[in-house]
Amino acid sequence: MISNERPQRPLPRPRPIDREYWEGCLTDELRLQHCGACGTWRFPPEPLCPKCLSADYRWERSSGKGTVWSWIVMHRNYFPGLADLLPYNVALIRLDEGPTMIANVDCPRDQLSCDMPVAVFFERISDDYALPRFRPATSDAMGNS
Amino acid sequence: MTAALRGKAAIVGVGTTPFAELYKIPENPRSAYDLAVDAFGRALADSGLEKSDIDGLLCARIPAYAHMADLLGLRHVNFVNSFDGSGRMSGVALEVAVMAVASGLANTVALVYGNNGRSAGARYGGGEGVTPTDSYDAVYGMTSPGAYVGMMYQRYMHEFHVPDGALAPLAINNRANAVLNPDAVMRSPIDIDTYMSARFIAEPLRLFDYCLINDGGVALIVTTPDRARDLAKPPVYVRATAASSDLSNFYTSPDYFYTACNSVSRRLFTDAGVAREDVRCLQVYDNFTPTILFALEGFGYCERGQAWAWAAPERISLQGELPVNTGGGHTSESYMQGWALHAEAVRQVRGECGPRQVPDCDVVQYICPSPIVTSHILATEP
Repeated sequence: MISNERPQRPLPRPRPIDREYWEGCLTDELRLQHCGACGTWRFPPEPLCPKCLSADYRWERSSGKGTVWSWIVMHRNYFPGLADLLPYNVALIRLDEGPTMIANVDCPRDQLSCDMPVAVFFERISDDYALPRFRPATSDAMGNS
Repeated sequence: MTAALRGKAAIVGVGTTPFAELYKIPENPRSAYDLAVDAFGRALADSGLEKSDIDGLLCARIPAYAHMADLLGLRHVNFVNSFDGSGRMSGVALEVAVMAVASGLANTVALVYGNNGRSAGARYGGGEGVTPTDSYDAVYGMTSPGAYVGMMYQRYMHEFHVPDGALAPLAINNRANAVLNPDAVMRSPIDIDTYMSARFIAEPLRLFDYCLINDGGVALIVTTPDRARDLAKPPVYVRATAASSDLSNFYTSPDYFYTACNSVSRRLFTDAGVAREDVRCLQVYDNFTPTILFALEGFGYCERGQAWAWAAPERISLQGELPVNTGGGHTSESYMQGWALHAEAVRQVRGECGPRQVPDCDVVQYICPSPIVTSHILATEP
């Protein structure tokens, strides 16, 4: 029997500790754990601080700002559910607070550049999830656009 | 102090399945076990040892070591360990074998590896993933070590103003060496046009920057120098081995493994009592061609940011001052995750490489620039 169903795009598979992160995304907030003992921010969510090993943390809304450490453009179809989007970029984002995360950058290929400043926005991808994505941040340090 | 290991271990057996032959028959179902047993038999024959001489077993990319031992007929070995299927483990496994025989925990260790990636339809990407980061990354369509190395190379290009196409000589050199290797999978020469016109996989990396996906097995046998001396072939001594790492949730290293390579390099050359100039050829773990550049810089063969210009054919070809991946490397010989590079290093030291033999090859270096950086100096003398 031939299936007419489109292949599923990969969806988050959250552990209990990830729940707050994904709830934040649904309210347009990039919430991260902020260590209460040493002040280090971390991602992905984990129970203990990798810097000082403390279990004391709070979830806080982060700035959503960062820079692109680097990027690639994926041409190979590793995820059938994303085949329609090929070729798509993937970037390694250094958030201003310190943690590193993978995300896509919403901009033309010729605008992609290492160290470019980016800012988060959120895209609803299913009933349950909104995904943080990034776009070029147009304002400079002085807040000028 | 790792100099205490010098002169304490020798590689006396090497076995590789015929990669090219296996590649011609893709529909033959093979298991990693079958391939590892095949390679072990070849390594044993190569060494002239009896199976009863083997008292240590190290398996890599083998799901169940007890089943492996059963298939090999090695029931009561005194030293056993198993390594996961990542390529960094080939260097680690040899390091452990050296420690085992140097310490006396074992006399003669067999290292076995089998990879049925092609038969099994491996893609080295898009899978379930191991860590929470993998699942976070997958939602963005991010996967595969190639994409991560691609990211490192993208930034390397940005930082050091490297033009597109700079990786071509590395891929072309691998292929040129494979042409001279009857067991290599890909033996048609490629040129700059072939390289540049091939499709991007994870841009900036193209098809010929990527390792192959093929079936094969490799086995090594390591023993003490006094046991090695009685055997038919000249021993290949592990003069030194050293490791470091750059461990995080991502394969990417902010400095392209430079700090880790540097740390290994300092200890390695001191422990081995050799200088870079003494190294006759280099076997570099090239799951993707940029790692060759990272190795050359990290181990001080050239200045940081310069390897892309330094690694010209007059340097890295078989006729050059520092031949690289003389068997064809991962992109043209076989993707055995470092194991075939170890085999090639041994064979070069022994002088068994025929048309691709590097003359007067008394010292060979293996480097794996990856989240675990390992390097060995193999030599004709302890």
